[in-house]
Amino acid sequence: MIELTTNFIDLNWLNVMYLFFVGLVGGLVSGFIGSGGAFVLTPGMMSIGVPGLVAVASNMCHKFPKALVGAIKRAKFGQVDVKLGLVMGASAEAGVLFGAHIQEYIKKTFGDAGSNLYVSVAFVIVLGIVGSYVLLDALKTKDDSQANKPEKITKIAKWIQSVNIPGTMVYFKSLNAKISFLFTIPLGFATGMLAATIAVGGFLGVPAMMYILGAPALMASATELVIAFVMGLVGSFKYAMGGFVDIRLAMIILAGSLFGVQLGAIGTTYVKDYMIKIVMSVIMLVVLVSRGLMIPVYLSQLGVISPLSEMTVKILKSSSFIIMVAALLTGALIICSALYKGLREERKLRRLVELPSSDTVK
Amino acid sequence: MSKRKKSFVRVLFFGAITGILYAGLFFNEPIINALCARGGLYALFPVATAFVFSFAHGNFTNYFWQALGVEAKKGAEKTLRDRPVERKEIRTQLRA
Repeated sequence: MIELTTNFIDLNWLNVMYLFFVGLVGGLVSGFIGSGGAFVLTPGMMSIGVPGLVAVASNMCHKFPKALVGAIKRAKFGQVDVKLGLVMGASAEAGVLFGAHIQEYIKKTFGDAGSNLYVSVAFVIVLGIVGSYVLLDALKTKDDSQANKPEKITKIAKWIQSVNIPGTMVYFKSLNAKISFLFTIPLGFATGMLAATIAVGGFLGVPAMMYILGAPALMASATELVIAFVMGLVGSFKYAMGGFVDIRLAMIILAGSLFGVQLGAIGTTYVKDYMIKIVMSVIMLVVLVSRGLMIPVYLSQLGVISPLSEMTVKILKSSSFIIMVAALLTGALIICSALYKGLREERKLRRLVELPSSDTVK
Repeated sequence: MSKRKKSFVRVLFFGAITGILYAGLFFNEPIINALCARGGLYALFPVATAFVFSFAHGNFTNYFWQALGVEAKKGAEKTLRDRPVERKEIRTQLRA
C-alpha cells in the first residue's frame, strides 16, 4: 500500500493547466464522437509521468460522471438509445472486471514498464485496425451523403437483424429493428475489456454498434455515452478499491472536459454522420503514431531490446508528445470549425427568415 | 434576453459551488491522497466525489455555454413541451 501512494505524482501549476487543456479537448472530442476521449487523456497523463495504471484508473473515474452529463445532453437531442446502452453496458461490466484483472496482473508481474507497454501496444493494435476501417467508411459515406443517399447498413448488420432466436429478441429504437440481445454480449464484453485496458471502450463500442448492429453513427456515438457511464462506474470502483484512482488528476481533467463535452454534444447537431466518422478516424490514427513511438522505449526498459541511448529516448518521447498535441488540436479544430460554421449558417438563416418574411407576405 | 440573464445568474451560482469544491480538494491534498490510496471500501470516496463534482460543474458548464449563446441547432432539441402542440395541430387539420 505504501508503494501505491508513491504512484500519485506531484502536481505543479504547469501540470494542472496542461491537464485542464487536455481534458477540455478530450471532452470536446468525446462529446462529439461518443468515446471517452481517453485515447488523448490516458497518453496525455502518461506523458507527464503518471504510471499507466493510475492514468487509466483516474481517467475512468472522471469518465463516468462526464458520460452521464453528455448522455443527458444528447438525449435531449433524441440521439440516445437508452435500452441498447443498458443492455450493452451490462455485458461491458463483465469485460471491465476481466480487463482490470489482467491489468493488475501485468503490473504485479512486470511493473510499470510492463503495464505501460501493454497499454501502448493495445492502443496501436486497436487504433490501427478500427481507425483505418472507420476512415475508409467515412470517405465512402461522404460521397453517399453528398448524393443524399441514406446511410447504408452493412451485410453483417442485415444478417444479425434477420436472425430470430425466440425469447431473446429485443426492439431497439436506434436500429429500428428487433435483434437478439445475445449478439450484444460479445460486443459489450470486448468494449468493456478494452475500456479497462486503455480506458477507451468506445473505440470498439461505437464502430460495433454502427457496423455490426447497424445503428446510425450519430445514435451509436450518443448511446456509447450510456455504456461508458455504466461500465465507468463499476470500473472506477474496482480500481479505487486497489487504491489506483488519483482523484486530483480525475477532477482536473473533469474540470476541462465538462466544458468540452457540452460543446462537442452541441456540435453534433450541426454536422452530418460522416463528419463524426472522419473526426474519429483522424484522431485515432494520429494517436496511434504517437503511442507507437513510445513502444521501443518501454521495450528497452523491460530489457527485451538493447538499451536505447539517452538521446534516442529523449527524441522519441518528445516527438510522441508533439504528435499527441497535434492530434488533440486537429480534432478540436475540426469540431470547432464545424460548430462555428453551423452556428453562423443558422444565424444567417434566421435573419433571412425574419427579414424578408415581412416583405413577401403582402 | 431574460433567458440569458437567468443563465448568467445560474453560471455564477454553480460557478461558486464548483470553485469551493475545487478549493476544498486542493487545500486538503494530503488527506485526499491518503483516502484515495487506501483502497477497499474507501473506494466510495473517489466515486462519490466524482458524482458531486460533476453535478455542480456540469450545471456550471451547461449554463456557461448557454450564457455565451452557444446552443444546439434549432429543431434538434426535442422537448416534451413541443410535442403535444404539434399533435394538436394535426388533429384539427384532420377534422377539417
